[in-house]
Amino acid sequence: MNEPNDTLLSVERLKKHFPIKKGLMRRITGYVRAVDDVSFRIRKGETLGLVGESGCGKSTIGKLVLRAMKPTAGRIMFHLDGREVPVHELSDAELRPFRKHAQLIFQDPYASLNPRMTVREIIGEPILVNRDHDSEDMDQRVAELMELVGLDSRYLKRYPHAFSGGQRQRIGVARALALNPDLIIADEPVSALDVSIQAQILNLLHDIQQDLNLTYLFISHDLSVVEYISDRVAVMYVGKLVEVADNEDIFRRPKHPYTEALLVAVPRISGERKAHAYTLSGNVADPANPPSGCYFHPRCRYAKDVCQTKSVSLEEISPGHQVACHLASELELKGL
Amino acid sequence: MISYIIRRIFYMIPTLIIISMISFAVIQLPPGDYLTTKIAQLQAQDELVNIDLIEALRAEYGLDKPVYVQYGKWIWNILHGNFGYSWEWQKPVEEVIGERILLTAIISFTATFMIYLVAIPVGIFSATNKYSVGDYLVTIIAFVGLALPNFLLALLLLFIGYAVFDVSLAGLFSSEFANAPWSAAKVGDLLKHLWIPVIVVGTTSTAGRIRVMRGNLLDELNKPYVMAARAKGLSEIKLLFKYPVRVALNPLISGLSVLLPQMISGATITAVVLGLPTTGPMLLGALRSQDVYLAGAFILLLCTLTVISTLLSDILLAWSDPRIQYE
Amino acid sequence: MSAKPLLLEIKNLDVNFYLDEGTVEAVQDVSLDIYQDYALGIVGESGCGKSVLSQAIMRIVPRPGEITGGELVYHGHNSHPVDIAKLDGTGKAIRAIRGNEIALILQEPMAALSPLYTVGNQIRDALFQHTSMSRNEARDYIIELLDQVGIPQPETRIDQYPFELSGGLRQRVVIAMAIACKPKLLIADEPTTALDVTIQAQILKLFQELKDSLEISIIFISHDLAVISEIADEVAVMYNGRVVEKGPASKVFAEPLHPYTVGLLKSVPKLGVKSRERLTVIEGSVPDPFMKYKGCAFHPRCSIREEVCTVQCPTLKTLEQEREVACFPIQGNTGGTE
Repeated sequence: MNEPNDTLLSVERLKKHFPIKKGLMRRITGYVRAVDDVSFRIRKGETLGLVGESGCGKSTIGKLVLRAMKPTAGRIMFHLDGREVPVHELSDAELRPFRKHAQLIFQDPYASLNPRMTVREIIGEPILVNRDHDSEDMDQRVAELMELVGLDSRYLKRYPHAFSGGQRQRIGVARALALNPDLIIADEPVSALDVSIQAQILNLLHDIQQDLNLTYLFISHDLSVVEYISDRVAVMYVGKLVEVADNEDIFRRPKHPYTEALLVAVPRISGERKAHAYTLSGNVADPANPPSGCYFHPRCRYAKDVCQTKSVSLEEISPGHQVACHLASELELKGL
Repeated sequence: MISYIIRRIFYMIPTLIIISMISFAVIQLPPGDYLTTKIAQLQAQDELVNIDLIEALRAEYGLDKPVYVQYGKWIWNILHGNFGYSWEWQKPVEEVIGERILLTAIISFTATFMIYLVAIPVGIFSATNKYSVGDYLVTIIAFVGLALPNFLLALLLLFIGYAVFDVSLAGLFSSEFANAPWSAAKVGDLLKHLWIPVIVVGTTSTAGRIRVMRGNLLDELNKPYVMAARAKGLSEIKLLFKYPVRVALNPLISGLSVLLPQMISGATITAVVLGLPTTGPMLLGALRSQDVYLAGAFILLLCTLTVISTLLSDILLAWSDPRIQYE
Repeated sequence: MSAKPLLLEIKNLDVNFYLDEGTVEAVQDVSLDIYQDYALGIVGESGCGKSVLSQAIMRIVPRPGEITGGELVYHGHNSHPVDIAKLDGTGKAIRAIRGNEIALILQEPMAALSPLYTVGNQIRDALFQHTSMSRNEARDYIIELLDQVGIPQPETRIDQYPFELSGGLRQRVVIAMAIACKPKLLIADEPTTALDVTIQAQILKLFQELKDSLEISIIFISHDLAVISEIADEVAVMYNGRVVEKGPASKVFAEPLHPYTVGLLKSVPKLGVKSRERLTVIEGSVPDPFMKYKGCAFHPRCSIREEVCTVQCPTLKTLEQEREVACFPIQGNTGGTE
């Protein structure tokens, strides 16, 4: 890695394979390659958007980075004030202090808050567990956090059901911020919210990033949201990254046919109805039994013989723009 | 499906072996054996003890050998159809328990059948007529049924029989048939007496299962697929039985595995109260007097029955819900 | 579009839910006309009444919900109009319409299919109910249907269970089930919300093709403005049980009139309009269904509210050609766009 100075997280050749058991003796007959040889970096203070369709492994990456799951192989390095933390090999005891630095915002603001705990207990729990504050300033800290995410701190003693979906997601954000993390992993944080509420939460995420110098790994299937919030974007397909580039490049000058297809597929508000000139056919490949060569070739309109036989890996074709496609240099793809 | 069944049967084998070990160990827990108890008893009564006979029996069943040898012998004999000798009854165990097992099975299966025959339709009625007068009535009766202990219900029925109808409802046979060989008339007599133990044994479970069926179905009735079925134009009855009822039955099917052994072993007190010639009272007696082979045979048979009924209910469940075979 | 014959008139429809916590007026005074061979989009956020409205048309509003007023005049049935709202909710007359004349597609394709029956078995229901097809005829026809909705290997898929299919294929099965009896009106309640973007695009394309080939009318319900804009001829925006704006889709999206529509359109991040500025938001939260709002239900969140908005509830008024809006300040400006 060339620029270690401003890197917060670097992931190298990360893999997570889940065994498939079959038959009378439940023997392992294969593996679901949920995350397969993924490498990327996130710089301090930036937002990396991770997009892909359901089952592509994007949420698994989030869980691996948080070490909610142990990787099958690969390295996850966290860079903290000159120190390098090898997250992938931390023991359970070593994980505890690390958890302060990386926190998660969940998708479902209804399922992710314990209905039997007050807002004070929910937001204060990570503080208590990590013994960051004694209980007297905890109230003050929780009140501070509530104000920060735009909740009235008088509602400290209320239970989650007294809040609307948008407010619950604010509680979830406050809980994630409780320990002053460096990295926030937001896994579809606005997908479950109403349209008019999504914007409020996106604004909140935007504001706190500026104020607290946070770094985001923003996982979403929604390209419009990813375009809005991300500095750089990584596109994932069947466990692999197929394209990583700056926001502008991904959306204006995509180099991977899958990225192009995703962009075409997003419905857009326009006066004129779009004639569906091109829709991607077929389904996402099965990560337990992926196609030969480039995993995308059966659905790719540009595929040539080489795509069926030779596997691809991510390569830098221009500064900061990585693509995994045999034809990247010859194709003229359409951006927005 | 076949692979699923084979796998399930395969899993049964170690379970059965462990069960047989545990039942043997439990029987062996109290100090001494039946013979020491018997000798003490006879001596207390100043009777002559036939030491030779006792020593011969002790040698035959290896009572002087270590426990694992006794266990090995026991299992070996069972696999050859010999369940051992009942000291108490002075007969081979098979002879002692044969008829009782049959009668127990008749009561248990009839009760199980009745439980489902009543609980399923009543539960469906209760769920589809939620908060109606009928639903409240069913609910009240079900709660009373749940709260009433079996033996109390048995006493109540016996009392009503004596006081109101002036007949004795105890036992499974009238006195003239009790020791008679099996005949059509005896079967008829059995059927006349059967309903009392069936009601007594089945009431609590019926009440519980009405509640389960009602709760499950209420959950299912709100599912989108029910609305989707209604949107196709199906009549309420047709869609009810084709869609939500079938899903709601699943927990009742899996409950079968618990129900059957419950019926068999749990009815002991009832059997004592009603004076039934079933397995319950005899098992109790055998355990008290350390009649090792009789008690062991009972426990082993009951456990085997539990394991087999679990297998049956699992197969039934897999047949009724295609998702299970695929896991 | 007004040249096309009327298929369904929704007139002043009210649907209430009588719950222990209070009465929810889920649909209030909704009037909409649905024409033949035409697509109406209904857009709104959770709890706005859009799904209840679709259930009311089929008369399958779950208890304790009830239609408490208004008419649902259906013109497709043997050429003499029927008021669906007056029919017996479980009777023969409504069952002859359900699944036969009017069909419904629900949001979550997995939840709309029973896990215990094969795909073919579930599609068969409607055919056995409404036609005299034999088992074998039905099977051949279902295979044809599955093919028509773009399911590969329909001969094997017909005998599979829903959990053996991907999300996209399941939704195609649900669509096949809905169009099995060639209904005149198809109500699709968030049919693409649970799907991935590339699959959503496939399904939207399928809807477009079905509309063209079967000359079917579609009521397409979604929270997603962009999806609605792709499929609908006309759009109705719902807020708290009422239609607050209605008009040709192209005009409503290009020049929204109601402040709620304006706010919604501004608050969604739009692809290709990149800016890291804060998004414009509609303040406050989605209305509480148990709350009774005095005046216009949107006024607490509205930036252009006037005195009258807090006391009186506006009704839809036609402003210019084909454009209707329920908002006093806008109606007062007669045709002004903000």
